[in-house]
Amino acid sequence: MSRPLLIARRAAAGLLDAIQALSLVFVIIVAGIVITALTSSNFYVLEILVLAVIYMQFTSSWDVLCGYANQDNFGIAFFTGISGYIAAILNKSLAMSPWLTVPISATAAAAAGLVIGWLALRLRGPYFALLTIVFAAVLSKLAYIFSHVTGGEEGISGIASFSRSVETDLLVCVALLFISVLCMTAFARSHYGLILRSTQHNEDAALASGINAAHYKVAGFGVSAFFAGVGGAMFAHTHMQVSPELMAGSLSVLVVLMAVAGGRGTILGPVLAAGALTLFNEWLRIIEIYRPIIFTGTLIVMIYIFPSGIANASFFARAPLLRRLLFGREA
Amino acid sequence: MALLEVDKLSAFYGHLRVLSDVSLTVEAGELIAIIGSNGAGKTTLLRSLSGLTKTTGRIRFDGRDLTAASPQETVRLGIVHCPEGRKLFPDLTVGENLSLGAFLRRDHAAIQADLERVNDLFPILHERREQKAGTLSGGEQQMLAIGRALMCRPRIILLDEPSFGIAPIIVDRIFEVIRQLNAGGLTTLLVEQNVGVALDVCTRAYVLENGHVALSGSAGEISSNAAVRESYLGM
Amino acid sequence: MEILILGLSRGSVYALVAVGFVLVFSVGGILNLAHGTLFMLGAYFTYIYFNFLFGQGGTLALLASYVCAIVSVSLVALLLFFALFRRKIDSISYVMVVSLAFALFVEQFMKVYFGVTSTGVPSLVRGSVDIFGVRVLNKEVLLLPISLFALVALHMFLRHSSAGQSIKAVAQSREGAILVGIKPDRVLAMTIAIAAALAALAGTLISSLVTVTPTVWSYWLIKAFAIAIVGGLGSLPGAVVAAFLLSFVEIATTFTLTDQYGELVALMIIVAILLFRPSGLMSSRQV
Repeated sequence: MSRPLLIARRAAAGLLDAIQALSLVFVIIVAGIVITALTSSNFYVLEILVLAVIYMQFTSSWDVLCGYANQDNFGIAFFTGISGYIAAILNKSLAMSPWLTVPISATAAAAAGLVIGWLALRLRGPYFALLTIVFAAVLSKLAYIFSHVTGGEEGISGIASFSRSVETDLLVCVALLFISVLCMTAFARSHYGLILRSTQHNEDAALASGINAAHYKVAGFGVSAFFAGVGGAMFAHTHMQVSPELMAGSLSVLVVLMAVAGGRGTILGPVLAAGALTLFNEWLRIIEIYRPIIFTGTLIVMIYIFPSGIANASFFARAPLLRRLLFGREA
Repeated sequence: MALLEVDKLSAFYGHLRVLSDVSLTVEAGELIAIIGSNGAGKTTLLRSLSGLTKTTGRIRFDGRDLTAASPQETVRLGIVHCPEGRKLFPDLTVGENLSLGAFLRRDHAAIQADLERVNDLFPILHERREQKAGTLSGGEQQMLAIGRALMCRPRIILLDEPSFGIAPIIVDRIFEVIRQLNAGGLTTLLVEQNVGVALDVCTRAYVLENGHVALSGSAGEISSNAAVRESYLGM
Repeated sequence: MEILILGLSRGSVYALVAVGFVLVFSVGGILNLAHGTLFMLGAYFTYIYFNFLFGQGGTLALLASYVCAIVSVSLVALLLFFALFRRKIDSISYVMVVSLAFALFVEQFMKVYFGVTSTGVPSLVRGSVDIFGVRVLNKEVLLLPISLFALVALHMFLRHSSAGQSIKAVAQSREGAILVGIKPDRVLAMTIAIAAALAALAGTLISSLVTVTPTVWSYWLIKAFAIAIVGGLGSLPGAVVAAFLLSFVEIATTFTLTDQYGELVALMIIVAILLFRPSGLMSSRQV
């Protein structure tokens, strides 16, 4: 059998396995969003759901690398930002349709991810964290410096949306999220995920057993960056504008906090936490002025009560069925 | 009553049982050697006694129950552990290392007297008092480790592999000091790979195998035991 | 000449912030990402005490608000340590994440209560002086001697006091320290309080000089983090040298290019050091 065919077959088997392992709750949530999109015309609800889906995309793409390799990327906004801006520029200046900009900008983010992954290989712990922070900071500085291209503080507005209606936009986003989560689950359940997990404790041991850990880490970076890039492009085409906030440190930090609160190394944990927290944040609008304080306070409390995240909390270890329903089958 | 009584001590690393039901006694003034192969649990035993490793079982020192004591409490009571790998403060001077040994003490006159005693035992430490500990040779570092332990004013000193990685001539010097300290009344518990040297200085010895006491007895009994001669003394 | 003077005065403030960050890392093996927040709180507390408690009085009131601010920030840091960090102090990742959450919380809190606009505090000294033909604000001149004094005081404390020696001991050999009866937990709490006090001092000094907004913490955190790593994580002298180095590079590029490029160059240098010399410019561990 030829090599591409073999890879395709393996990927198909992985996806099939990921579908079987998928969490029921996630499927219900996706179905719920689809039904809402088809039935509701409440603009406000739909916008919030779009935002929730985007954050789910961000946190899961963070988790697929960092949750498994147990390294903290504090610069995920690098990938969301680069992809969002590329999508915006392609759409605005070349009038490219979103169907082209999403894959192109995500691929560009993945390429950037491979480069950074390769550069960051030797670094771990604090060094790795600083490198990711600094890269994201460099990117946002560049955005200010080349403001004739990026619009500087204002960003770029007037980007085409996926479709003419918010309902369809939401459907597109949730479909992209669903496919992304499937692919990431397949990746995490493959030997790639397993080896990334093994590097978190002892890279030397993994090396000694003949595994080229470098290859797997760089690949993990590429995958994480790709799906973060999908999220960034999603943002551009639903909000119809991008601003430096899409590459800001605060976005990176928020993604890390939501993913960690959800439970690293589970993909679905971060997804559910991001969804729930985004909705919670919107619900808090009833007490508008104290909203950010309560929201960040809640994050602290969650991380304090579940230091390894909700999905990794001990009561789920004792309730395997519940765990299966919420977070999918174990690797 | 014995100074130190250990009763059915067990210790675990995760699920791995490293010590199982170890019982031993140390009378005041004795020099006890604990011998055994690598991984027999010797270091874990000392770590349990100084409160570094959590255990089940019972440790009594001078009539007090110490099973759940913190390392600080054990040091305060006079159980002083001179650890494997020495654990000195490499960027501090020899003098600073010694004064940190007396960290918990406030009796300045006695501290000064102890410092002089350590300097008498190891004149080289006095010569190098301004030098950083990390720049000393292996033997000097071991001397400093013992010196620092003495500055804690021990009632029992736990020595873990004092001969490790040191030139034989220095080993002789260090064991001479250990013998001398014991003769001066310092109760000593000595863990040693170098079985010949250990049996030479000790009064009694325990042989640890796979986390339990396989054999115990006077130095003479142990060194004439056939199994010990074969596996540890190579005769 | 201007570069030299500004570089020295800014560098000394950087050093104050970075030294505490490094000290906490050496002693506890943790990265407190709320360190920039502690700096920021120093400035905010000065503002609060001066305006609301001491009713914008004279120099004495200003000095009193400085002292109160520094003490308050140390107390906040202790609270942070005992309430949040200690739960899982062995996990560097947990401490990073929870301290970031705290930083974000404080940012939002300050935004709600003080708005996104800046707060200003009058300076201890007014006017300006000529130094080798360069006109420099007096309050800028004040930074270097005060910071140097604090750094020397820290050095003396670590070198000659029993508490200081216990900090050094834990940083160099945690187990060795335990075995002479030191409680590393208590030493770490003390270290965090001292680091917070230094950061707060920097914050109070800067409060009359530049504007302080609720988001300023991240800028200072990145500075401290970068200086710590450029200096070789764990080395106090390294951190001081790196602080001045970074400030000179920044000031020099700001003068020759623009503000934006100044920071970009500083960031690029950090990247280069991370990639080519990750152990820092001074690699030995010295506390």
